[in-house]
Amino acid sequence: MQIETDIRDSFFSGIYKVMKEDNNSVILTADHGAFYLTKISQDFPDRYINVGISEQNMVNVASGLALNGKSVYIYSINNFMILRALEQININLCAMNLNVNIVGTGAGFTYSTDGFTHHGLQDMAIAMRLPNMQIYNSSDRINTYHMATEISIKPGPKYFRIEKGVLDDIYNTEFELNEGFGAFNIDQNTKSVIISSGYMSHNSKKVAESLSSKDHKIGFIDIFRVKPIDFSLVNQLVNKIKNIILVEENFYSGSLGELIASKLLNKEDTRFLHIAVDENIDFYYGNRDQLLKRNNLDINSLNQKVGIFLDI
Amino acid sequence: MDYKHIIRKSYELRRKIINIVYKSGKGHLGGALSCIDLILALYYGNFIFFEKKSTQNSNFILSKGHAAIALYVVLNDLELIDDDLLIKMNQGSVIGEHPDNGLPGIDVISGSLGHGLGIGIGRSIANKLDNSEVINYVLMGDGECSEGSVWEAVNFAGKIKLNNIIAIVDDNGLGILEQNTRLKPETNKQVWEGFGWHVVNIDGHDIFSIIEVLNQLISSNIEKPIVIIANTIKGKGISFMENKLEWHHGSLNEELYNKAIRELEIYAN
Repeated sequence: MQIETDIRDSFFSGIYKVMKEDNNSVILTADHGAFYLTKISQDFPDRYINVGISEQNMVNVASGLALNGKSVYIYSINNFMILRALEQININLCAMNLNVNIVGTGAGFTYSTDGFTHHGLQDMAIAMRLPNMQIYNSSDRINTYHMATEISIKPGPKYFRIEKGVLDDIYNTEFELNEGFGAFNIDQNTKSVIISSGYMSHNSKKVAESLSSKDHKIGFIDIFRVKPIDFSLVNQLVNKIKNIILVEENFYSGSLGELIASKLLNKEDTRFLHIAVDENIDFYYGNRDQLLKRNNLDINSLNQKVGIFLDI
Repeated sequence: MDYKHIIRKSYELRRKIINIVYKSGKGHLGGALSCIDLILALYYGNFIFFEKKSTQNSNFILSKGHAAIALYVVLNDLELIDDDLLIKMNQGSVIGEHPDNGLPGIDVISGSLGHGLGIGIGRSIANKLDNSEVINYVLMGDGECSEGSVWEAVNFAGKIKLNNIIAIVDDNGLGILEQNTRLKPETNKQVWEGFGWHVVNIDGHDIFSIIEVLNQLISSNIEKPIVIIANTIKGKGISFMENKLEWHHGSLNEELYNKAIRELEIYAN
């Protein structure tokens, strides 16, 4: 299996494959492009529609297509779908439980130089409140390709937060992806675990690896299916682990950290550290790593915070 | 069904609406009474199917969901919704003030405004992909047309020259608190035409001409989306409700109930 190196390309090459195999699939874009989307528009012109910059309408049109049995993809920037078209998604996709895949770019500080309008720090927490919605957060090209080819063809409304650019592989193609998360370096000797998702999984994995020692083994979990999470499985892994650290590129409130805290911290002696983004409206522009550093989510800041928490 | 019979239905079903709202305690009477004749024309003029055709169960979307009672009584008359179910509206029942998908003859949840036209457009695109001849009908309110999502849909359907959708605007002129901010009829027509739609103005209570106009439109193969702007009266059929803001949503005491029923009986005969 040849998977594209760019994460977004890996997703849309998977969608290309799905659209080739299933002529019932239709893709809509709100004037938002991608390399493979151009190829899809050329090879399946009847089933590719640019609805224009009108995300609310795109969701409504998608629900009409899905009501008539189509398998639908809609594509734009995360905020412009989840925040702007929230009610359309809530009623017409979620309450009617239709087969529509929301595919968006702009997780966290992806669009680092585009400002608050484009920063995806709230969309995941909001989408987590939607009934029937399944949420996937891509972290490498392998789980992203799996999302396109294996997950998106399943029923129900889904939200795929797709990274773009080239990131290190977290998984290999033999990895079991059906559980919705990947666990690394976890056994009966593991004392602490860093749980993360998406782009932050890369920083978190590096921090876990660099701080882990023979005396203090630190594991790492990448959650790529954010909703639903199989907590019985996660609990089996972490129930002997004393320190749980949750790192995410979202605002603190309502997102993964709160969920993990409410589900996993049922043991008296568990310690929990949540590292996320403060709810500041911060007009600051730079590359993604610069914005992460400003929010203390870069590797150095994380090393320091986690080191202090674990006293190592 | 002959026209005389359909017109008689329009009184009978108005009476049913009054009965149910009286029993259930409250209801969106004004907007239901302004659009019931449009719904009757669509169903009894044989424009709407309500048994599975192609991939859908119905080709009608009531986008102004608060007029659900007007649709329920028609579906009841067509024996899709049982009397027992209808009579329990709002009183521990699956039937409430706004329609939900899964009820017989209803495919789309409605209640929040401005969604139905885009959904209808999606269905019409699906019909084209499936080489189906189905035309989808979406009934909206004029108050609803203040929603921005309506105009996103209008713009899009005009751009792609979607010729298998017919939008109908129940233009009763009244909102909840005051008259709808309205364009002059000729300006409103120009706006829709500017977006690439074929516009027809009709009297929304003249069931005979609504059916005629629809038949003409369908047979003339217009290569554009179509909107019918139906001039209607909120509360139509009951004198003390006509054009009265307070009857957007209300309840009837015994005296008003008897008065309403008497009026409808006089009209029916």
